Amino acid sequence: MSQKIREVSVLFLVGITSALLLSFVYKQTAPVISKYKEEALKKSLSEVFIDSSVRFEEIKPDSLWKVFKEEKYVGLIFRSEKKGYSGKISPIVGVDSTGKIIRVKIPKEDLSETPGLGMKIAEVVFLDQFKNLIADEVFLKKDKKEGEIDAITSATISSRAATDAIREGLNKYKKLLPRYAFKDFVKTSLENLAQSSDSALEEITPDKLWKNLNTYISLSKIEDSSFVFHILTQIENKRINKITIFIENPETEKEETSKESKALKQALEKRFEKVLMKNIHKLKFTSEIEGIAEKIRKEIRTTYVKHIEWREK
Amino acid sequence: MEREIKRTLIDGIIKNNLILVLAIGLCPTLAVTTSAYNGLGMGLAATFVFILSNLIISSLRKIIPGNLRIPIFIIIIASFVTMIDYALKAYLPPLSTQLGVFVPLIVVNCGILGRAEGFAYKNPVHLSFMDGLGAGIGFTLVLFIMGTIREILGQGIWLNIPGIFPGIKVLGSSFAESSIILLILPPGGFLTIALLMGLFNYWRKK
Repeated sequence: MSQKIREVSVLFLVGITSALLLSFVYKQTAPVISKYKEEALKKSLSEVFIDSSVRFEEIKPDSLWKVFKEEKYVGLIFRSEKKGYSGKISPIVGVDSTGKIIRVKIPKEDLSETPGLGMKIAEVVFLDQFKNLIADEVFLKKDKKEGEIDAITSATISSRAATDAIREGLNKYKKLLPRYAFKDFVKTSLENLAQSSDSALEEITPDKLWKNLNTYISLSKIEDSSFVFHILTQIENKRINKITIFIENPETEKEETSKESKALKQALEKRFEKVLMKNIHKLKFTSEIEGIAEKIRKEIRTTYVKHIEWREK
Repeated sequence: MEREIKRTLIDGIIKNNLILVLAIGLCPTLAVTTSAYNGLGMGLAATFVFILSNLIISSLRKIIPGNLRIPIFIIIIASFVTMIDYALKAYLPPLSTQLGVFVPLIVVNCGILGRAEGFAYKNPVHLSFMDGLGAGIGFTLVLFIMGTIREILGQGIWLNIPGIFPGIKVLGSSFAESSIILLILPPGGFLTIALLMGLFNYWRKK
């Protein structure tokens, strides 16, 4: 009996002592460790942005920072994540105002790929390949011909995960860049269209009308009470394939990204999608969006008429 | 007394070599020996823990009840390694980053439990210290040798220390380009360890 009591007490004592010691050590070291982590992060941010006279503003904890140079917004840094070979790969990427990569860093502490193979993605030799690339070039050479990245031999999965994480982050945060204005929106939409149809885009009227196979794409501008609507209309034969809307805030000259405008944009785009031209007058809208929808309808009709003229020519 | 101490030390390195003779602690061995530096780092960190855990368990051996010894060993070793991990992260961050995941891995190194159970629990403190030291030295030596073999034949370099030293291309640059990658992968680990075990035990018999 007393032996059992003795055993239980020894176990209890060992457990309690370990727990106390451990929590003591933890309490002592935790602030030091988190301070170190903060400094390491700040160091990483400076490393991927090069220019040392800038300050960083955290937008999303541990994933997005805006970079300011004397109050001017000059770029951003993001941290995206993708599953690698044996864990998450999470690169930190510095991007300039035009969407070009400045530098990429992958902290070793957060990486658990195969030593000697996958771990090499953290090394300068691999990461230097990303300098000055734009999103479209961030592919492995073996995945796409426009790709500019050589994977590490025998570490394709790690290399691909890192590359894809960087590219997806670029595409996701592109819209927040200082210079992403409607010109970029037009360029990107046209590029996406050309890519998906695999044929070249022909410019018919500069900045107004393009042709891709049988599809005509026109760009129109509608001014409403508080915003400017830029509409890219794609017409094929007698049908609107789709419209893409860029709502611009005339004061900032950048895309309006509030919830309401996003909802408005989506509602309008959805309604006009795949509508036959002869049915366009039948479309019904709610009273809030009736005003702008009517203007868009008129604009599309005008475009359609013109597009017939262009085709006959 | 002195002879006993020396005997224990040498036994720890040779007769009771954790990897090559007792065949315990193989998991971290296979995983870590992709380069000489990694092997060395893990070996030294593990040696530190071997010695300290042997010391603690040996000094507490009179009060640890026989049928509770395993859980108690584990509690002691795990708390211990965790404390060391935190301490490294806080006060020696560069070293902690280099050792990386290897430090927590020491907890699952069967070698520690093996020596605790097989020696420290039944022997006085000064001998347990020697045993821990010997086991650690033997472990580190094997890790270093394995790491060297796998790194040289598998990557063509030796002593690559990421961020500090690019390593020596012992067999020339052209070999480095097209080395035997298999050796860095798991099968390579098994092959190397098997060869070393065979050679070592053959030498011991003689």
